[in-house]
Amino acid sequence: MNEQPPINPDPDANGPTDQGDQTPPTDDRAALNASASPVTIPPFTPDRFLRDLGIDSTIRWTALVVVVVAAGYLILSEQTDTTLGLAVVMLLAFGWISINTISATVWRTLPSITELIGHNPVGAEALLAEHLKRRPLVRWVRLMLYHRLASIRHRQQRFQESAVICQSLLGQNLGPARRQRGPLLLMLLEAQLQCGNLHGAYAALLELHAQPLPLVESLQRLALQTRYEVLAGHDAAALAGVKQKLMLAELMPADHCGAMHAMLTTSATRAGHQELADWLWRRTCLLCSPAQVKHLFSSPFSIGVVAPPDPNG
Amino acid sequence: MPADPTDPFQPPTPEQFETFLRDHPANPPTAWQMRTPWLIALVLIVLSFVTGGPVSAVLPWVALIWLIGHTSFRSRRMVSLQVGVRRTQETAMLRRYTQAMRQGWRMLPQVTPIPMLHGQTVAMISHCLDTLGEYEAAIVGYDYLLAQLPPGQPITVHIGVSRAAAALGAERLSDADDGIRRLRGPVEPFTNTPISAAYRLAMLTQQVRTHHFEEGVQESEGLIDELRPLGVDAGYGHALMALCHFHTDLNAGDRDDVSNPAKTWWRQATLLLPPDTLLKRFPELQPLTELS
Repeated sequence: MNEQPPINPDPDANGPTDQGDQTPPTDDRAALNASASPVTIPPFTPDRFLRDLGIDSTIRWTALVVVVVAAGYLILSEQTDTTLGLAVVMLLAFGWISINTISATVWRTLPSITELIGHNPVGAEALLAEHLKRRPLVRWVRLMLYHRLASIRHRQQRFQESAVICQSLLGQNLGPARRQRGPLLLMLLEAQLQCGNLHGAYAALLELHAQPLPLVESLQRLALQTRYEVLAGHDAAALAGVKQKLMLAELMPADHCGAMHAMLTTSATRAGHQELADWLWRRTCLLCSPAQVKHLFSSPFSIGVVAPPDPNG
Repeated sequence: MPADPTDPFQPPTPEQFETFLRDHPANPPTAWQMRTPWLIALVLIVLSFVTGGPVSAVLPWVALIWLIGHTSFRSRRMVSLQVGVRRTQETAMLRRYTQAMRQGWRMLPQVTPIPMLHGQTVAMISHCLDTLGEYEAAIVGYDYLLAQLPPGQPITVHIGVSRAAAALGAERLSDADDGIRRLRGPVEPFTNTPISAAYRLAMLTQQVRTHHFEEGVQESEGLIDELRPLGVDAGYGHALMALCHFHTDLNAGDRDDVSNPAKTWWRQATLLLPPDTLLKRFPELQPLTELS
């Protein structure tokens, strides 16, 4: 390779962009298709979400109370025929198991919904709409359904709705689904950044730092935190420990690694570290395709990447 | 990760790994084993009908508690194993291969009842062995996985590519050639993914190992784009292309004047990976260090 394609995006696109603009990027066809798809679940409202949880809770507690009272009565009552009593107990137990079977059935379909979100968001939404109508669901199963709804909205680039769902979920006791707290906070952080809400993003970041995260999620947090710092103009913070940050960035997928380099290039350029900026920029050009670099610069969700001046002219 | 001279770790030999896999194969519970807790509960309920008195009233509750307890224990055990395997994978991701190997070796006997976790652990151990330069042992693991996985799946193709690359590392050139030829078709649907990039790197490695440097140079168009999904590991490909140019120049008689392309590719390679890392995996790159 003698001549590397000159990667010098339109300088007009390099400046800070309107953070509130939410036009989807042109090259993300899957997301565009998804956003153009018919919506089968009405827009999320916290009130309806809380009502759903309340109805589930009422049905389940009522059923439990009936089971316990009936069982207690049968055990304590000396006049009841033992065989009949046993049959009633078994019937109640069967009813209780049947109620829980609804949740178990929905729970078993969660992985397939997750898989569908990746390649068929319309199908995922249809399936989700069907499951959200079922009652009563165990609390954490319903919370997980709403988590999938947040993922779909995030993928459809409806970031404001996604952020509201995440906030509503995070306000609840997640119970056995508490492992989803990290991914929810990451989704919230990204949605807030996409909406240009730096205060909201900061609050999500603070919570994320109080949360033990697996490696992959830590890497996502690093990328989003860097993006926040670049957006907020905290260039010194973005460049602090840059060597370690780059070592971690190298563990990310190539395009994310390239985006991290591009963000750090911006900070290094703005902070006047020209040599570092040049080095980072050369790596960016190897890690990202010209189209990816152009997208980074021209996307409405741009982080305002500023390329260092071309040393060759 | 620099090797610690005080570390007594010795990677397993291919025979040891083979024996280990034979002793600890994936062993999912049979349908009857899965049904056993339910059968026990059923027996308890039947007994409650047969017997009389307080025992009869208590037995259904014992059955219920047994079922709930058993299910809870099983799911907790499953989560604990999943977390263990994930931590081991994270250690490997952080390039602490020796440590990841140790953890994986200990985990494998515990995960035999769960084929998915078992497969992930074998894949991780094989990857660690591959990265540590123990290619023959890595091939044992890859072969084991390829025998278990359904053909045509992305993971199967990826492991096939890794196996071909390991065969090149082990200087099993005809074996590698077979693998690379066989994978040409299956790799096609995975354009612009780490799978196709790893395949392209394997092809380039083959050209270097078989001294087809000019062929490598001729096919270099679009190489940067093809290798890009590898991230910084694309640096290996850049370095090998620099070597192709270097030897092409030498064969052309330009012993004193190494061409610009060789220097450019080497510069790009060292931009992505340090020279030491490049040399560790491909010692034949040594002459290029003078280009820096």
